[in-house]
Amino acid sequence: MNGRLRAALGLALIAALVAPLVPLGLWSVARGWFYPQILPATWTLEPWARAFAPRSDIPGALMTTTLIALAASALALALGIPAGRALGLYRFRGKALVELALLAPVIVPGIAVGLGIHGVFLRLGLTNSALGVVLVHLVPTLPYVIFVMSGVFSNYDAEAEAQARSLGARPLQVLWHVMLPAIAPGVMVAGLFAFLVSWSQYILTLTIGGGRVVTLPLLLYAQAGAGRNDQAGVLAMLSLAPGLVILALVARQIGGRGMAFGGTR
Amino acid sequence: MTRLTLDNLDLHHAGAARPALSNLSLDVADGEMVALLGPSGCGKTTALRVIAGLIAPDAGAVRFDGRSVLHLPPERREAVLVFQSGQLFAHMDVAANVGFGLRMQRRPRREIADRVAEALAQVQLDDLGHRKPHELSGGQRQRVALARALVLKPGLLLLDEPLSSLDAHLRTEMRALIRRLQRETGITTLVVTHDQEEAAVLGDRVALMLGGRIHQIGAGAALWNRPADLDVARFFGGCNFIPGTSTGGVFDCALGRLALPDGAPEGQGCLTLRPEAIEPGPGENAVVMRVTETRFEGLLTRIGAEAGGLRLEALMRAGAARSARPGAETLWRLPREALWVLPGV
Amino acid sequence: MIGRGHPWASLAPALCVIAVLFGGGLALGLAGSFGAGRGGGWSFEAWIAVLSEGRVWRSLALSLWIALASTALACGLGLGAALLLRRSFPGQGLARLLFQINLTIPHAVGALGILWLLSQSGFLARLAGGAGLIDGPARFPALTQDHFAIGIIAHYVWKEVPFIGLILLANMHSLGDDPEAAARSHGATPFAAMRLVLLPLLMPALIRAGAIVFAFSFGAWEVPVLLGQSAPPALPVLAWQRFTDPDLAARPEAMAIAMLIALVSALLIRAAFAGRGR
Repeated sequence: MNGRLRAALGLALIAALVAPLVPLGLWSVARGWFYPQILPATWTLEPWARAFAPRSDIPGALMTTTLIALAASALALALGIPAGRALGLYRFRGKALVELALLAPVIVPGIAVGLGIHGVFLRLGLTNSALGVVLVHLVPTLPYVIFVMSGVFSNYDAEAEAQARSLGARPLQVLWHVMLPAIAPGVMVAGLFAFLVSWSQYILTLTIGGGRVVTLPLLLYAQAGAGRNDQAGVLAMLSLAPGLVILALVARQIGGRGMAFGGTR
Repeated sequence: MTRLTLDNLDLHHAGAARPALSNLSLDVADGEMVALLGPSGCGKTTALRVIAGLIAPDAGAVRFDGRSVLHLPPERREAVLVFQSGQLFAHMDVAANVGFGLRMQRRPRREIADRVAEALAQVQLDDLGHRKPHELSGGQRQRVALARALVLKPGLLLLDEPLSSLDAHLRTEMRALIRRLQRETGITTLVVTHDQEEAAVLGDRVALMLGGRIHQIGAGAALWNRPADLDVARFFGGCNFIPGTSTGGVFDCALGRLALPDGAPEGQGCLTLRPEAIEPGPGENAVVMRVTETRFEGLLTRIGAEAGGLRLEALMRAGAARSARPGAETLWRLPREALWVLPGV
Repeated sequence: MIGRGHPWASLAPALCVIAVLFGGGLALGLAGSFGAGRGGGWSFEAWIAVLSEGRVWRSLALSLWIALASTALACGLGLGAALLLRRSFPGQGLARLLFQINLTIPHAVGALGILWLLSQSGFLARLAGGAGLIDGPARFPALTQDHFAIGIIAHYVWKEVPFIGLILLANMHSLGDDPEAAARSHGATPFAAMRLVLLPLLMPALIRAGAIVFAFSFGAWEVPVLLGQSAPPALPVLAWQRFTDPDLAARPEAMAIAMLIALVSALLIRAAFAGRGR
């Protein structure tokens, strides 16, 4: 393939990747941008001002989404780090089966289990609550964290822990001074992307939250459906933000594959 | 400092064909350095881990100064194990690595800094406190690992193959450093190695471990020249084994009657002598041998020869070996003081 | 979790959570599809109703079409993009960055972007109008909420080409140039080296990534609900319609449809993943 063709194809690829984001971005700074205007006639920051005005739903949804994603990723880390350690460090009977069992929640679509989980949570009184939404977000986030941490631990030398014990460290000191610092970069990647996965959930949030727990994706469709395209544009831009921040934070830790595994489904 | 006693230790790893430790007993005196020598897989590293408290034995006792320590977790034992790989913590700089154990004891910051500086000086790494482990050479890492253990002033120091990752000239240097530090500090030390020369240089005594137990312990030369059994003799490269009977200072065998040194055991047995002890020429215990092969091995030449259906090997300097041609007959002298009888074999 | 603790002890909490949420969800969904839990005892009514309803089959066919077309296009274009991006050209860094950014974008955001891009009054239609190619929104081809689900497929391709591409790039990186170089030195043309050596080496990763794309594009709800036509709806949309139907009798049917979706993904997992390590 010659250089000019390569550059032309690359340019087409870049254009295609950016294209859907263009109208979203334009709407967030437009007033009354309708066919056949190619670009908005009036450029304004008014949609942003309105989005953060006192009576707007957006700040609340932003807070809800953030807190739910923080809680879900913290929980997923707490459960997923020990499990990832077991999978990364040990061989044992039934390991392949465990990995398959953890893969299933990644593959099986949310709606297929969500409706059933709704039944479980109905009995536990967890529907229509943020707590229930946090718990249901473990279905996509926990396997993701476990797989990332399993990869981290397979490059981890557990002998360092034995050495630390022999040097006088108690088990908890070993955990804090030896294991955590060694796996910290991996924990950060796993945690940030678990956050993103939770941040992007739609149908599980809708099923368990029952419309009472309003996160950014839900509000996005609601505003677009109501014809408030400018507010939807602002919401879309807000939804992009954590991904950009996280990418900047972990740019050096990822080689593509780590995050590619989950994406934000 | 601490006296170490191992009493009849047994350990069988689940799923392993043979036990890792079998009736292992060993005494290391206060302030002594013992080299635990053995081929890979003989259980010597396992023994260190049992002493350090990282593995529990199936049976037997580990005593420090006569008191059993089996109930103590590794961090509360007087022993510090230095791992073969050094196991420096990659996220800490050299000073933090060396101060690790003291931090675990929650010593005051001032004291830690002073003792770390002192320990780094001991291993001649005064200026490297701020380096990260990946910025160090192999020899430097090994010295940091050593300092990290010494700074704790342990009663017992356990070194697992401390020189195996180093190249030849660094090894000599490090060997001298370990020897000197052990003399200066007087810390009871057990050092594991698979290298005979290293064991002989490092250990006040050498303990040879084969198949999970100690076969012989003593000065290096004693193991070399006066093996306790055939396995020990073979481990040290013994290749001359002559069956026969010892009576009144004379050994009767296929080579004839050989004069034995004073105090040799009586009765049936196996005569052994080191290949390098054999000398060319006539004299006491001279035997006529037919040369079967010669092999150049650098400084020395290995000569295989036969007589009376027995095969012997000798290692001789090039000058002495020149006359040996395959097929030729030659006169070998088996010096009386080099002969050693393993009774009842 | 330090030392010789058995691995199952560390795995237990996570596995329990997955078992209760995921396993419990599937089990209750299955039970619900047989009408259990509504006091009426067990019955096959919902399954019979669902399987004998033409609408369900048309929705299933539509969802399979969406998944097949999206997966095929995403795999093909993803492979092409990976081959393009592994050699340097002006803009390579930007394209790689956009690939990574794209992965972090929520599907809902992307779907709305596609709608505003492709709809008959959307950005492309305005560009076409501005260029004088069409003389009104109605003359722009229906690319969203259309019969062939073009908008839906466009969204999945847009979102999954970077996913496939990054996985293949990571694999190419760990393979290095040696396999192809060896083939070239044995007389293969660049194209033959790619087709006969590189592609087979990438295939396992491509199959697994493709399976993930297929399962998602088959079972996602937020994309077809926005970009799809109303009749027939994609299967997940149909399941949700039944689930939220004021008539509670429709719930077992919703569960049965959800189980159909789970069944298709189970078959996929079996085909693409079972029996080998990841």
